[in-house]
Amino acid sequence: MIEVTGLHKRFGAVRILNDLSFACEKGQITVLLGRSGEGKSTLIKMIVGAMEPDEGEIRIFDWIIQTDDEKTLNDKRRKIGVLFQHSSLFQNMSVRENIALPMIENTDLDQNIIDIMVKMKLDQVGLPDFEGYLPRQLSPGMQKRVALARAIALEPKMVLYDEPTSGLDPISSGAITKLITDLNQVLGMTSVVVTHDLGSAMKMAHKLILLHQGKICFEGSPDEMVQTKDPLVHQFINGDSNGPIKSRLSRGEYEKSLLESNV
Amino acid sequence: MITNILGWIGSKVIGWLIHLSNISYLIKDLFYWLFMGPKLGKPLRVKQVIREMDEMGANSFPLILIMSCSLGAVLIILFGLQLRTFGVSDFASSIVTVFLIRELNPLLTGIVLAGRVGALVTARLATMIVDDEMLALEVMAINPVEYLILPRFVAGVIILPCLTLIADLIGITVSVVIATLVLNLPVQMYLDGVLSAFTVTDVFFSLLKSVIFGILIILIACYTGITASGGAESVGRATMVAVVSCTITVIVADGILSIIFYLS
Repeated sequence: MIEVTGLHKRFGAVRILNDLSFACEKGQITVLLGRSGEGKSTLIKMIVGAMEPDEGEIRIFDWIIQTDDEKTLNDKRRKIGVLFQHSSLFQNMSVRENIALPMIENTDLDQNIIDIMVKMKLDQVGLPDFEGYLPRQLSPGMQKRVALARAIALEPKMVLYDEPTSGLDPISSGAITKLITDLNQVLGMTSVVVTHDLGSAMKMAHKLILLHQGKICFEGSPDEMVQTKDPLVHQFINGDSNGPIKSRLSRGEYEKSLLESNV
Repeated sequence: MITNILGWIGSKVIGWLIHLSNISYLIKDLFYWLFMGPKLGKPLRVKQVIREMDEMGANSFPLILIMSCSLGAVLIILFGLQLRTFGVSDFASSIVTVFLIRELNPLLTGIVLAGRVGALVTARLATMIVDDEMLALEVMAINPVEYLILPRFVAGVIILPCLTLIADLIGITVSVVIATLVLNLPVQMYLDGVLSAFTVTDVFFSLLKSVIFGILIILIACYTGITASGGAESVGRATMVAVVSCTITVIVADGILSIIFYLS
């Protein structure tokens, strides 16, 4: 469904992605894990064609995203839903207008049908009767649900989630995790989830990919992740500050890492 | 030392050239969507244009009212009293009319809107960039230039000449009232002076200037807004840059246009 091959990306002297290759299977939930600044959100932007990689290619449904003109790219984007880290709801629009927007702009559906669809989408995310609210009148968890309803408004084949549970309390976080799982099981949506939340990742993932220094250092199922002897993976799972993943670099190490990233 | 200065000048020049190049792309996109949009099933969003005009125009009206009232009053008192000492106070009406229509109203309306509309548009767009709302539009296959910038551009280009005309009307009306009540000038004589000074060419140039100011203000405000990057502080920084840039651009453009108009 998604095939990433030899992806490179750098911002100035800092290399973010370094020859990254992986595949996400159709109908599965693939979770990308990694520390902040490992390029997970950058990867999401590249998948939707909002950012160009320096090298490599991304294939979605056998299309190469990077080679498309705007019209073709937009045709593909209609088949992909994205849930953004900060929900990114339009603050001057009501919940109904937010969810209706992609349908109004991309379909010829009658307004009455769109209204019914909005209600259905809100029902799906567990927020019936909230159409008239403005995003700022909702809690962060509710905003995420509305953003999810908007992401699935066009019934996409695939949904990308950028930190879907960040900033949420454990109950809201659990609810969002269950929604992602339900959407995958009931509607068969392929999902790519970028998260730090190891608990929810373990619950929902069919496949986990751990990124470190722009490369994949682990790829496998949640069970395989728990059983692996890799010290780097263990450090990430246990949240240790000591281990192969350095939380703080000395000046010499920082210079070395910069020089290495320039190679 | 000299190398540093030359390097600084060079980097500034390159920076400006990059901005100009980006703005020219924005203009190209705006005209593409304005003329090709209807053929692609994306006609101009008239409702949004009206909403923006309301936001920019109706909310700027109190400022324009205060500005044009005080301009009309100050100018007629200034010229009326000065010219009275030479016994030619009947010229005051024509001088005030020419001043208001040709120069002061387009310029000051432009400056007022550079502050108000420049800040409004830039802050809104920069916030959308910072909150990833613009990215959300893109991934929903909605072109941000067509959806967000074009309606603001059209609204700005329409609203500035409208407000300038209103300012002309208010300024001249106030000057008539002050001339009659305070300076005791005969109404008929004053109105004759206004009408004799009032030429269609002056009004045309005044409105043309306003249209150009509108284009410049919206372009700068939109460009500054969509190029904001970083966190919440970048919204404030972008807004400040937009207001300063719009104001300076309006003043410089007014000088250049006035010279061209009066010499041609």
